[in-house]
Amino acid sequence: MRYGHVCLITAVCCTLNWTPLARGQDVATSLKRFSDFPKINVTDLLGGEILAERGAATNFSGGISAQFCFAVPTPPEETARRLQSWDTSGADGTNVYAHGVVHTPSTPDDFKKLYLDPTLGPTRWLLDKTNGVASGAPELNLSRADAQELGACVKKNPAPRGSSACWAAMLSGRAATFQRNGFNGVLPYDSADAAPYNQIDQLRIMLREQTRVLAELSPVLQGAGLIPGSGGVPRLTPSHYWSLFDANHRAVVNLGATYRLAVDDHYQVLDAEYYVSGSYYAAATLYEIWPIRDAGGTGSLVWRGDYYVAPMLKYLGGLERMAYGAIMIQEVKREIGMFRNYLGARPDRHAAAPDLLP
Amino acid sequence: MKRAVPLGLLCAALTLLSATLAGVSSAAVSQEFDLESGAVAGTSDNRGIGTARELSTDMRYVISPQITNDLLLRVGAEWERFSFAAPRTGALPDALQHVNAIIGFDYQLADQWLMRTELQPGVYGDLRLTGWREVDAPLIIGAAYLRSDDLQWFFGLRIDARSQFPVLPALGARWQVDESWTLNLQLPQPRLEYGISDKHLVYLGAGVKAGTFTVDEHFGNDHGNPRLNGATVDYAELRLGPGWSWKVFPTTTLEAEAGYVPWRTWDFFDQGVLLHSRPAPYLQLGCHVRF
Repeated sequence: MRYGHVCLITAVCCTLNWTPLARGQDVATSLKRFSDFPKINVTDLLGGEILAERGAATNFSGGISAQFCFAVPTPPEETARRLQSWDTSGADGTNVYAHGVVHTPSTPDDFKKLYLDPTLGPTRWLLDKTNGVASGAPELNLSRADAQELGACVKKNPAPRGSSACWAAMLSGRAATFQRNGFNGVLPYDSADAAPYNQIDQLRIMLREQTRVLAELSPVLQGAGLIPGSGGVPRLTPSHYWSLFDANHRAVVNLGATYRLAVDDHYQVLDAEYYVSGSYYAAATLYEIWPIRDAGGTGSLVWRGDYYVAPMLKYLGGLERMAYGAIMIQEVKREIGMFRNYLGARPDRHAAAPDLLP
Repeated sequence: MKRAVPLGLLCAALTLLSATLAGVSSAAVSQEFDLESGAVAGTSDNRGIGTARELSTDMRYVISPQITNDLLLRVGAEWERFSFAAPRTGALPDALQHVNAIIGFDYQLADQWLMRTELQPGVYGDLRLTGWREVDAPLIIGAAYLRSDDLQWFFGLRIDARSQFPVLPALGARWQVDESWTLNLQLPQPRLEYGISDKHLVYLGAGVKAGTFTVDEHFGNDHGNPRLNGATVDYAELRLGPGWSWKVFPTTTLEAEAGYVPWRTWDFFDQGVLLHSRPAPYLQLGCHVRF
């Protein structure tokens, strides 16, 4: 009997002692289950390592994806919140010229920081292409209605300040439509010599091929309305934004929405670019953020997946596609580095072995 | 120029094929087809061998299935032919050509490093197939360091045991200066490129064509120098000139260039016979299909 008690007490104590580790194993097991990382060493991640893996080739060849895993020193709730509010335009080494919050309902005033500076090569390129819309030869991602509105406006206001205001008006209209109708209301891109291209449908097709990721992140994706179904998740209210940035020496404007959802002890975040003026058609960045104990404080273990829809990639194969993916990974790693700087100090490179919080 | 019509027809047929296949292929298998045909004019300069008129054709097909996320297999074939005619032919071969298989792989070594290895076993001579002497297997090893999306460095090595220079190293770089200008210094075709639009590009560049061939056992007898029977010849030429590239379809690019060939040599190095051609103008057309 006494022996039985000892065994029982030992078993209970062991269970209590090992609860944090068991949860830690849960996090690691969960990450391994849905991510492309077969081996995850949290100590290395706390030491500053960023795991990265190019997405495997799928039947959907008109896009490219990559996954990342890294640690930051802030708790999950704060990490998720600051991901949503991060203004990248102020970061060192950024390629973002301007970034702004879009209020609900959107007005052109939300875009007053948008200025296409003719003295900079990339923005001068966008100004040239904007003038091309007025002359009826659009090379940008626009619906027929966008092209008519932007073209008519630029004809009256061809100067850089005027063209910038035309973009502000057009973007504001698109943002307002998105705020009313969500992803299903996003206007597809039209072109003179091809059928309309629905970038949201293509993004959905791309995400559907990521079956493990989709299963894991379906709460936030369903809550945002990007994939069908509710799964018991209420409709999420996004934060809306726009930005003007340099993509391969060409200025691009985009509209996006970020969604945040608490799931048990961790967070899921979706950052969806539903309108992009050029270079690619749409993008979704997914995050899952778990708590970890970092040198006495609570930090976050972040999984990130980037999914870009760019039809020209359909014609990019072999080594070129591999190189494209490798460069994309470099760019995202640089962005993760900037995000860490934004959050504060980098994780201590010599941090003690981590405990994963229950 | 006689080859321009077949070149156009072949390119059109392949474009149609690629457009058909593009719908069914996925990112897991890629294919590439390159066809180039050119002519170097003769002149009235009769010093040495004078200027050798030349017709050249290079046709290459490679299929590249993805084995793992970091490894692509490369399997294909190539045929390249140079035919020459000169006022005084001397030891000048009528034709040099090779038919070879391509077996290799592309591999991502690290985040910023990619490598390509190609073994090109085949017959390198005049294709009269007089024996195993014409069989060769050059090995090409290349690596790319992706510094950023604007700057990449390239390192290469060509290993050919038959050549006078069995190991040839190469260094190159690609630097996108801005939206329009790119300095693309990749051998064998270094270029300064200017993008007019997404579909049109003009360039000023160089082109190096080279190879090691074995002539047949009676070549020397037929050319008045028996020492050259079954000899090995290193052929090399340098082309300089402007060109124009047109992306007709997302899968297909046509190229045309014209300029000057300032330097051409046929070096029977193991017999101490070296021929030079006088400089001459050239014209080249190309078709490149990726799907």
